[in-house]
Amino acid sequence: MSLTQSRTEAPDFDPITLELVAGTIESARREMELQIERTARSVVIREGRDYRAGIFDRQGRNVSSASGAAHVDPILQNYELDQIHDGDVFIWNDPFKSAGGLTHLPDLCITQPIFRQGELVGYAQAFGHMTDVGGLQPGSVMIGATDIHQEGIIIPPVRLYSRGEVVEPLYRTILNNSRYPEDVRGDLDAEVMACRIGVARVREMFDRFGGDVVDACFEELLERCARALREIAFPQIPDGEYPFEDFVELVGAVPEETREFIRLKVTMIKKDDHVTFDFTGTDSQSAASINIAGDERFYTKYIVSVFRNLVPDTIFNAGATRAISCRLPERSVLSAEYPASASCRAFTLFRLPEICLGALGRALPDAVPGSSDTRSVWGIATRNEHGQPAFFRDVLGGGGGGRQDVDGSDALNGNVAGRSVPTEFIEAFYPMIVERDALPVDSGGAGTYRGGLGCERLVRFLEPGVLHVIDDRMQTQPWGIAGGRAGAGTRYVLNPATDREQVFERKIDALPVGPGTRLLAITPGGGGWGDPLERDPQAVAEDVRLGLVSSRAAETDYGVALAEDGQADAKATQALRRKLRKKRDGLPLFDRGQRVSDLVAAERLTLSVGARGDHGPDK
Amino acid sequence: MGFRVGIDSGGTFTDVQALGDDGSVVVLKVPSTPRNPDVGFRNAMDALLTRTGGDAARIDHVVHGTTVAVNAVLQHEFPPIGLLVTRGFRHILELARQTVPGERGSIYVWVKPPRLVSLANVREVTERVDTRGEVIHSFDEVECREAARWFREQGIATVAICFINSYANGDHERRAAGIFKDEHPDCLTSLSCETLPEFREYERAVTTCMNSLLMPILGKYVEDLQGHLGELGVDAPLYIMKSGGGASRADVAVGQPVYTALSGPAASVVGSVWIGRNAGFENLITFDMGGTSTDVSLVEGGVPNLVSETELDVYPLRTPSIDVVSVGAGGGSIAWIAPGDRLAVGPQSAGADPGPACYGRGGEEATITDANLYLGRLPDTLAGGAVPLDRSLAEKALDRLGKRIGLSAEALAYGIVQIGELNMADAIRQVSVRKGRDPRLLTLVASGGAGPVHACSLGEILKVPRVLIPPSPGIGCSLGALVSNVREDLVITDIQHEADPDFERIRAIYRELEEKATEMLRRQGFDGNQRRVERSADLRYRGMRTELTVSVESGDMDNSAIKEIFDSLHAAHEDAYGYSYSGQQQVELVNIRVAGVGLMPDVPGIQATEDTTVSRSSITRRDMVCFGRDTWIDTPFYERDGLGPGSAITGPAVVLQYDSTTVIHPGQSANVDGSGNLVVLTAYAQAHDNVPEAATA
Repeated sequence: MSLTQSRTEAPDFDPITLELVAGTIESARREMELQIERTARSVVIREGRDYRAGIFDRQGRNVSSASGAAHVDPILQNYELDQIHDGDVFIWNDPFKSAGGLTHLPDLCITQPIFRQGELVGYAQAFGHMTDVGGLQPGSVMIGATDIHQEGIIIPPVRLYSRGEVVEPLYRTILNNSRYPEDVRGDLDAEVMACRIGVARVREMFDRFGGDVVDACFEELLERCARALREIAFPQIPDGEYPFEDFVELVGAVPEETREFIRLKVTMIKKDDHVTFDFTGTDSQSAASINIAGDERFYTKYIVSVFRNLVPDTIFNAGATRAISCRLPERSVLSAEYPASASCRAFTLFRLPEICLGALGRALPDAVPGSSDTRSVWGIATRNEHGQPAFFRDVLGGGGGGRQDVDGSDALNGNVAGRSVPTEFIEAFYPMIVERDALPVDSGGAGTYRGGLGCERLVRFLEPGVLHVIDDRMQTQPWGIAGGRAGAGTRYVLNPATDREQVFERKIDALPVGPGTRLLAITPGGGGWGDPLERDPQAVAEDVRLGLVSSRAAETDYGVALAEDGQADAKATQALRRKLRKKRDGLPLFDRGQRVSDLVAAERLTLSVGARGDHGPDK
Repeated sequence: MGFRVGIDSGGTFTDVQALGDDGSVVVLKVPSTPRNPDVGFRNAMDALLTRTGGDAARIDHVVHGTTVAVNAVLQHEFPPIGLLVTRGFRHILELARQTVPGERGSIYVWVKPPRLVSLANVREVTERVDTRGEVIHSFDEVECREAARWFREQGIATVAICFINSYANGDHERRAAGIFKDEHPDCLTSLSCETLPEFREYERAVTTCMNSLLMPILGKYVEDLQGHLGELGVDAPLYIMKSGGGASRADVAVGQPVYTALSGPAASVVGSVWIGRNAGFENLITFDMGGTSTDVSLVEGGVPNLVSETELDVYPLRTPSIDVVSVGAGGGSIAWIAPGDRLAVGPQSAGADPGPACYGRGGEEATITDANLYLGRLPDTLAGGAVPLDRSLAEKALDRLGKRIGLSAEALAYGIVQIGELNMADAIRQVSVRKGRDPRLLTLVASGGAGPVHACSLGEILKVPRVLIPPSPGIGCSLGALVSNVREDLVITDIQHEADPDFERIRAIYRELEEKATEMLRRQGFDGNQRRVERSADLRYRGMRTELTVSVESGDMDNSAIKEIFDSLHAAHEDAYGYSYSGQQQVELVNIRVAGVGLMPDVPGIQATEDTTVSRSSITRRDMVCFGRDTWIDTPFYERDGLGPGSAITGPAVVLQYDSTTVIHPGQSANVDGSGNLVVLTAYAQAHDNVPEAATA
C-alpha cells in the first residue's frame, strides 16, 4: 500500500501563502482546543487542560504544533486507503497499537480523516485524559497495576463513526466500561466535534489555495521547523556529549518491583547540525505502571520543547524529527513492551524533558533554568453533592526554576495552559473543605535567582472516601543549576500536627479515609540558578519580609544577616558570606539536594552522572 | 430644542457628537490629552458649545466612553491597594490559576506578571463560611480591627475585601467593611460579595482588587469632568459607558468602576449595532480597526453577545462585557522576520509615535499602513491634511525588510496586508464561524480609521455578502455612547440542579435582584415605563466547565417556568456547539442574572440631506492601485462627501474622507443608502447571487 502519493514537482508557493497556511493550521488547532475546553467534562481535561488537538497531512505527519500530540499511523497500519471514508471517525487508546503516540489508557484518542473532493488530504485529531476508563481503581491511574489489562478498557484503532453514523455498539460499550460514563460521553463528543471543526478548516484551506500548494506548504512547514533548530538553536551549543540523569520513584510501589528508583538517563550528543538524545543507561521496564511504549518520533516531538528558549518564536512540529534523533535501549521504561502497565507514566514522561534540559544545561548553563516539577496529583473517590459516587482529582502546580536573569515563578502548572481547581469549585461539588491555599516558605531552591515556590493545600474531608496519592519527588528534589540549590521536594501528610500524623513516602493507590481526616499537599519548589551567596541581599531581605524565605534560610543559604528593621545588614552579610564561601568546596554545576545525598549515603541510590554533569560519581 | 451628547476619548482624538431632537447631528474631533484626559473632554465640550451656539442649558444628557481605567492598568499606574482575605488564603493572588500561557516549553521563558496587590499588603482575618453560606468559623472582629488599623498606619486607603464563599453569604465582608468605616474612615473598600457574587475565588478577588484600584482613579476623573461641565454651564447628568454596552450615571459608576473597564470597545459595538439597525441589518460582525489593534464582535438580532469572562491586560475580569475579540493587527502593526525566515505582522505596533515609516516621524519599520500606502490604497495625507504620508519612506522600509527574505517591496507589501487580514479573519472566525454562525447571513460593519481599508477584502475572505461603511467610520465610539441605554447587570451564584431545584429560593433570588436593579434605575431617574428588567441564567450540563447564558422569560415564575429555564440549555448548547443532551444529562443552574435597563429617549434615524448620484466631480483622480500580485489597476478615487444617497459605484475604487479610507475591490459594487452608509456587495455575494434582503437579514 502506498501511503504517499508521489509529488515530483514542487508547486509554486510564496512565503506569504506559507504564512497563511501556517496561520490557518494553528488557528484551526486553537479552535479545536477551545471546543474541547468548553464542552469536555473530566476535571483533568477542563481544568487541568490535559488534552491535545492536532492537524496531520496526508502522509500522517503532524503539521501543527506537535508537542505531546499522538500519531495517525494506527489508521494507516490497520486500514487500506480504500477502506477509509469521508465521515469516518477512528478511536483508540491502546499504547501498544498507537505507533508510540498514546501512552496510557485514559487518553481516548479521536481521529477524523479529511476528505476533499473524494481525496484523503489529511487528518484532524483530538485526545484528552478522561476521568475513568475502568481498571483496578477509580480514576484509572494506579501505581499498583502490573499489566495493562488491569488498567481499563483497551481499544485498538477502530471506527467510532462510519460515514458519519455513530457505531452505537462500540460507543455504548466504551461508556459502559467507565465508572463515570456521562463524563466519558461529554468528553468523547467534545473530541468528535473538535475534529469536525478541524476537518472543515483544513478543507476550506485546500479550497482556497489548491491541493498541491497546501501539500507543498505542509512540507515546507516541517522543513522550516527543522531549519530553525539546525540554523538557530544548534549553533549555540558546542559540539560534544552531555550526559544527565534523574529518577522516578518506585519505593514500595508493587511487590513485583524490587527497584526503589528507576533511572532515566540521557546523553545529548551534539554534532554539527544534529542533536541525538541517547537514552542508553535508562533502566529496563518496570512491573509498576510507569512505563511508556513510545517511539523515537514521539519523544523527539515531546523533548524539542527544551530548545524553546533558544528559538522562542518557532512552531515545533513533526519537522523536529529531521534535526533531532532519539536512541532508545530495548525494553527500557521508555520503550516498554506489551503487557507493561502504563497508567502512571506521567512521572516518567514529565521527568524526560527535565533530564534533557539538564544535559543541555551542561552545555549551556546560562540558557537553562533550574529544574521544576509542576504537576502534583492527588485524588479521592468520594461522593458528589447528591450522594452519587464521584472521583475528584486535584492538580497542583510547583515552582518554576530560577533563570540566569530572573527568579522562578511561583506555583505553575507545567501542562500546556493547565490550571488549578478553585477552592470554591471543590467545596461546591465535593464533600470537603479547603482550609489553606498557600506558597510553602523556603520551598524555592536558593540561588542568585531563586526557584519559584510550590503550592500548599490543606484539605479536610467531610465524608469517607478512598484517597489516592501517587506523586513523585517524595524522595528526591528538583535540581538547581550553575551553583543554585535544589528546590524542596513533595510532601504529603495525613492529619498534620496531630498524634495521627502520617507522612507519605511512597505512591499509594487506595487509602480509606474517614470524615474529619486532613490531607496536606505540598508541591516542589523550583531549583535555583547561580550561587545563592551572589543574590542581592536586598532581594533576600524582601523575600523574608514577604514570608517567602525564612530568616534562618536567609542566613544559612544566602549568607544574609538581617538587621532589626528587616533590612540586610551589609557588613554582617559580607562577613557571613566570606565565612560560608570559605567553608564550601567549590560550586557544583548541579545540586540535587539533601534528600538525594542521604539516599546515596544510605546506598539506596547510585549516581552515574556527577555534580559537574559529567560521568562519574559525586565527590 | 434639546441635545444629547456622546463623547469618547481615544488615544489620538476625543470625538464628540451631539444629536438634536430633530435628528440634526454635529460631529467634532479635538486632539486627546492622554496625560489629563479630562482636558480633552473639556475642550471637546467647549468646541461643541461654540459650534451649537453656546447654549449649555439645551444639553439633556452627556454619555462618555473613557479609557482612564484601562490605561491605568496597562501602564501599571495606580496607588498601592490592600487586600483582606480569609485566614489561610494570603497567597490567593500569587497562586492565581497556576496557568503558564503558550506552548510546551513556555515555562522556561515565561515570567508571572506582577500581582495587582503586593503580598506585603495582603492581610488575613479568621472567618469562614461554607458553600451554602453557613458559618464555619465566626468572624474575628478583633483581628479585623487590627488589620484596618494596620492599613491606616501604612497609608493604604483603598482595600479590597474577598472572603472564601462570600458569594453565598457576604455578611462577614460587610461586617469587615463596617469595621473599616470605624477604624479607617477615609478608606475606600470594595466587597467581593457586592462587586461580583460569583464563585471561583481567584477571579472574584482580582475583579474586586481591580474595582478597588479603579475607585480613586475613576472617582477623581468623574469629579474633574463634573467640574468642567459645571464651569461650562452644563447642568445635564453625566453617564459613563460600561463594558457590557450600557451606561451608568456617573455617581453610580464610580461605586463599581470595574464595570467600566472596557467601555471603549463596548461603545464601538453599540455604535455599529445602531448603524446596522438603521440600515436594516441586525446580524452583524462589527469590525473596528485602529492604529494598534482590531476589535471584532458578533451581533445577532441587533443584540451584542455578552460574556462574563474576559481579560484586562493579563488579569481576568468577571464583569459582563460585550464579547469582543481583539487582535494585535492595526494600521501601525509592524512587520518583522521571525526565526526561520517567517514573515510576521504585529502585535508590536509603531503606534502614533513614531508611527508608520511613511509618517516621517522617525519610524523605520514597515507597518500595515506603509504596505497599504505602497499598494496605492491610501491618500497622500490623513485626517484632512494633518498627517502627510511619504510613499518613498514606506518603500524604503519595505525594501529593507524584503531584502532579508528575498521579497520585492511590492510582494512584501501585499504579503503584509494578507497576513494582517489573516489575523483579522481569525479573530472574526473566533466570534462567528467558530460558534456555528454562517457568515453568509452576516453583514460586516467597519469602523475605526483603518477598518474600511480592509473590510471589503475581509468580506471576500469570510464570504460575507455585504460590508457596511458608516458615514463617519472614525467616530463609532462616540456614536455608541450617544445611543446607549443605561444598564445595570446583577448576578448571584446559586448552584441548583434540574432534579431537585429549590423553586422558592430561585424565585426569591430573581425577586431580590430585580428589586435591586429597579432601585438602581430609580436612583438614576428612570420611572415606570422608562425601565425594564431582563432575566437570564447561566446553565451547563453537570460537569461542564463553562456555562452558557440563556435568557429567561419575564412575568410570573411558577415551578413550570423554572423547569423551562433548565430545559432551555438544550437549545442553547445545540446552538453554540452543534449538539445537545436533551433527556440524557442533568442540567445545573450556576448563576442567576438580572439586568436593569433604563431606556433613553429613542434616537431618530440620521437622514442624509443631499440626494445626488455620482457626479463626475466626486472622482478626484485616478491612480494605479495594487489588487493582487503583479495586478495594478487604474482606479478612481472618490470623495465621500460627493457621494449622496443613491450614488452607485463599482470596484475597484477608493473612497476618501476625513477620518478614513474605503478600499473597494474589483468585482464589488457599492451604493449609498438613505442614511449615508456606503453599502458594499462582495464579489462572492454577486457570484453566488446570495444577497439576503435587508428586511430578512
